[in-house]
Amino acid sequence: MRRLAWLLLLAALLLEVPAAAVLAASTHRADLRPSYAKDGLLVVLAIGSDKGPPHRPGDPLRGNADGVHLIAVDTVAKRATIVDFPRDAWIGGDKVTHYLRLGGPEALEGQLEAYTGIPIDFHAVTTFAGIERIVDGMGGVDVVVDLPMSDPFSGSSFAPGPQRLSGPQALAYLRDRYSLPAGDFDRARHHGDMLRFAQAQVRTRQADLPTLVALTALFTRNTVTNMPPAELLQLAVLATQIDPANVAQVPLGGAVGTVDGASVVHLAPGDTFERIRAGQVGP
Amino acid sequence: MRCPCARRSVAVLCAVALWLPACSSPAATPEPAAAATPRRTARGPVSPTASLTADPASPAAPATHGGAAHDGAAPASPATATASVPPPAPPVPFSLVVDHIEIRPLSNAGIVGHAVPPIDEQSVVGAVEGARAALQRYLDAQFVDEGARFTAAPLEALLTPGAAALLTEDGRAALGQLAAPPASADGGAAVASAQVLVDAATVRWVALTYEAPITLRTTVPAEPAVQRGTLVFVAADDGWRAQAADVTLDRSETP
Repeated sequence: MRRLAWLLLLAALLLEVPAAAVLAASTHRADLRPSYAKDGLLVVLAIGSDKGPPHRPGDPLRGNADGVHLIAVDTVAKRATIVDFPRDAWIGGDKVTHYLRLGGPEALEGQLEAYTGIPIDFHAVTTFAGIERIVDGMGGVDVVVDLPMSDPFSGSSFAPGPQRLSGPQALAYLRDRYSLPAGDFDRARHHGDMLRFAQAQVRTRQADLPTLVALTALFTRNTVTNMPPAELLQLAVLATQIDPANVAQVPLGGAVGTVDGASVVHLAPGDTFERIRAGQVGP
Repeated sequence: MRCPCARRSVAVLCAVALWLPACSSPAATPEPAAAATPRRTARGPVSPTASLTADPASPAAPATHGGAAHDGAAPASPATATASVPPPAPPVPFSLVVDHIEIRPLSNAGIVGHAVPPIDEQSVVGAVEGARAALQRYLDAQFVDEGARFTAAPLEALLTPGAAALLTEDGRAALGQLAAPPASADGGAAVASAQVLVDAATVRWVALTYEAPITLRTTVPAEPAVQRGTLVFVAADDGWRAQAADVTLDRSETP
């Protein structure tokens, strides 16, 4: 009886083999990431303050704005334009860098809205320490250094080429203007470059949901922003949805002059602002 | 043309029926379904202050369901082996344990030079338990509960309207709304880790990254499957709902 049972078991297993052969593994995936939804253009003002502990104690919202960038995003077409302002840009009767110190991010925002005619939705201010922590929290940022940089004041020491910068290295890269041929124009462009490099990295390497959640916290912790907390994750998702090839960067140039003995830049923005106002963003 | 599943089922049933009388120990006859289910016994590092246990209302890991012969927890009653196929056992619900909590502060007080407000750990623990309970409710409703399982209702109760609006056919299948549903399913011992985004006492998000073993009872032996991924919960008026999801359902076999 036992032998018969084993024979039948063997037969069953033999029948099982062809049955299993026609069965295949399968994977289904639910990837549900609501992105920030806004009809028309989303415009964010990114500000780098020269104040804030521990590097320069004081209120970062009352420092000079060493970095001033408008980031205009078409949330539907997933395209963006980053406009880099040199800190000495003469706008509204003063250098653009001074408005943060004079009236906080709202004052700077107001001046830029009046000058460009572009409504700004949100601002985000960070500091030297904020930049270091964000970059370190990302595990470094992969950049392509375009010019040799060596400046004891900022601590920069970079050969041209691709490299991964730590937080302190990224800060040095962003602060250096003395070793760059175009001075503050190159520095402002490097700020915009860093925004592009960071966005590309998040999209290509750090867009998985757990990492995106962690990056949302990292950003929130290291900026002062009026972005609604409930929408921060959607904004992070939006950042991952933009192909870096669809991001244009416009470093503003202009004529260098003096006003009351101070060096200023009279901007020559061309049609940059008209295009953004018309919703034409991206390359 | 006969379905290969049917052929396979009949063959295996015959074998089991004829093999049973030859066995002397009932403890050596694991239910085929559970025997095929990988049992998760290893856990990640558990922080004494961060670990949460399963909802007491939920059964613990199915120690006596399937695999009983492997963990030595077989019932003592000496069940007599018979040649008949036993009636199907009632579906086993999931047990879900959060074995690791990572707190991610949101306060930016540090960069403006203010003292960083302390995190309210009770809020964190309460939020994690709320999200854990929401995930467990979904898992049980989606895969175990007769009447709701494999339908759209549990997954739509899980998601915010914004997330639900993004559902595709494949996404629905990943979340358990199966086009060709099995007769039933058993839950297993699911494990999650949590990221909690908290601003002092206000928890904004709880992201649960989890793995939930499932036994789909379509065939004999039953089909092991695993749902794993991340759900990002936010507090809604009616409890915690998933605002974002990246979840897969891996099935070993597709009829």
